[in-house]
Amino acid sequence: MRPERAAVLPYGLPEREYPAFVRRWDRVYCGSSFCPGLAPAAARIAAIYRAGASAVTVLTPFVTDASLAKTVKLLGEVFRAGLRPQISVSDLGLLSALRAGPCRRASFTLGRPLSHDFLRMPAQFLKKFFAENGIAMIETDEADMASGLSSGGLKVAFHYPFRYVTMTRCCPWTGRMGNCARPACSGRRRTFTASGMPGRLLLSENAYFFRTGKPPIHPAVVRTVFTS
Amino acid sequence: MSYCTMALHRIKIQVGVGGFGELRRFVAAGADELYGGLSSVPSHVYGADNFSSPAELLRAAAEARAAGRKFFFAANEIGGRLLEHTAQVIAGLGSGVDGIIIRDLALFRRLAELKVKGFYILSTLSCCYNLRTLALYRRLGVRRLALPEHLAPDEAAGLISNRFGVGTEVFIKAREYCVNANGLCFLQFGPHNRCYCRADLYDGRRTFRMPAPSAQEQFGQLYDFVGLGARTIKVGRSPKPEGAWLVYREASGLRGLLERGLPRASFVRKALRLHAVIDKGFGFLREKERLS
Repeated sequence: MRPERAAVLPYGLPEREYPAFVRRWDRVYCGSSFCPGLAPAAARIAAIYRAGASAVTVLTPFVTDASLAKTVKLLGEVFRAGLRPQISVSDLGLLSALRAGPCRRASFTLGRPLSHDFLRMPAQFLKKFFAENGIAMIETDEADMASGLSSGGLKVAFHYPFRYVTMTRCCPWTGRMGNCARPACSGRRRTFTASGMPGRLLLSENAYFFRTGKPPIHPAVVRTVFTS
Repeated sequence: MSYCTMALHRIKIQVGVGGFGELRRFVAAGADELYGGLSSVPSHVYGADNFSSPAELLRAAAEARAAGRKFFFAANEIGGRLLEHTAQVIAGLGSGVDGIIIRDLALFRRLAELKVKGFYILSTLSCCYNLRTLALYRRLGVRRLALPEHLAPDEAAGLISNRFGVGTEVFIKAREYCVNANGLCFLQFGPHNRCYCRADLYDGRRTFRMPAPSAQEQFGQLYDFVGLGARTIKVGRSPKPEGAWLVYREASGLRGLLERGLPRASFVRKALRLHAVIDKGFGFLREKERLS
């Protein structure tokens, strides 16, 4: 079966361009798995649906107490408006708060970068944990880990063409620690080289990535997620 | 935000050790808590020594306890393959150690299944950034939290004053600080596993260095963490015993300053002076290495 084709909505894309973007993909991702400052407004999520998206996934990062409260409020607003996006969680506390609150019936995915550790946990544990927490699939960009999964049970959403390398909470764009109210990066990116480093390092949001190839073809990979 | 230390609290120093030599040295120097790893159990350490067997680790723990100190076992980087082995090792250690430093949720679950109980310290690598996550881990037996390095004091206030009775510890600021989020960084490459987080990066026009708070900011944060109620300063394991000793001396000096109840600005000033002295020590070590 062909994997579902998803793409991350570029930050700052004008709303009038949403329909053209949405038409090209089976599912649209929005938000960030790394920076809480890039959480989409409820109105933006609604606009994606209005543009014709049939399936939406909202990415969320690690969250402090303050960010957790904001995220629960935001997603509560979205669900109360009758929208049912899938939620990609990168924080166990946020998952617990959402499941206890307004999004108890939501479908979840386990987001990067939390999935790095979880992918290395025993498959039996993962299946149980996913079943207990309403997690439909795990997000990753590690081709070897995805290809190494046994085909029974675990489902993978594979991100390409960038592989996560590292992240920081000291904003690379402002040098300030903690969450910013208004993102300074505004969708900008930079690429770097350094002697001895295997490839060009891409700075996007508050995380760094290497470029990778196409997603692996494997029964566990049921979704591919493209970032432009 | 600034927090006053208010009272003269006793601050503990926890230090990682790789063998009996280091253990005895740090016990003699006044370390309150020690921790060590086993070669057969991954524990997120690069190049430092480990104890060779559970029996040796238990002997080290017994020696620390005989001196009135606590000894913890670090088991904080467990993949699926080693999970069962690690759980069995922990079960075998029993009450021979004072606690276990753990990261992985799967290991907590397995220990619960095996009905193994203990004093668990949640590793910084678990990235516990909020109370809700802490509550989840508390239910699995966590009694102390090693605060994530990338959490500012005002963001950590709730975690430190948590109602679950979970204590908190902080890595020694300014000296042992990862530029990127500890546990979520895979920026090491090459035959020597070089870490690129402090390297000069070039974007074709100018150089860029990954940002990190200055030593001044970090000492201010340390003061605030202690003011909020964090009571343990943690010193990581080091591949070089002389380097570990210098870091311990810095931690010990910082503890002395914190326990004096100095105003924040005065503490930071004195901490920076101490930091510069320890920097000179590291410079001397590098020169010694170069000449040998």
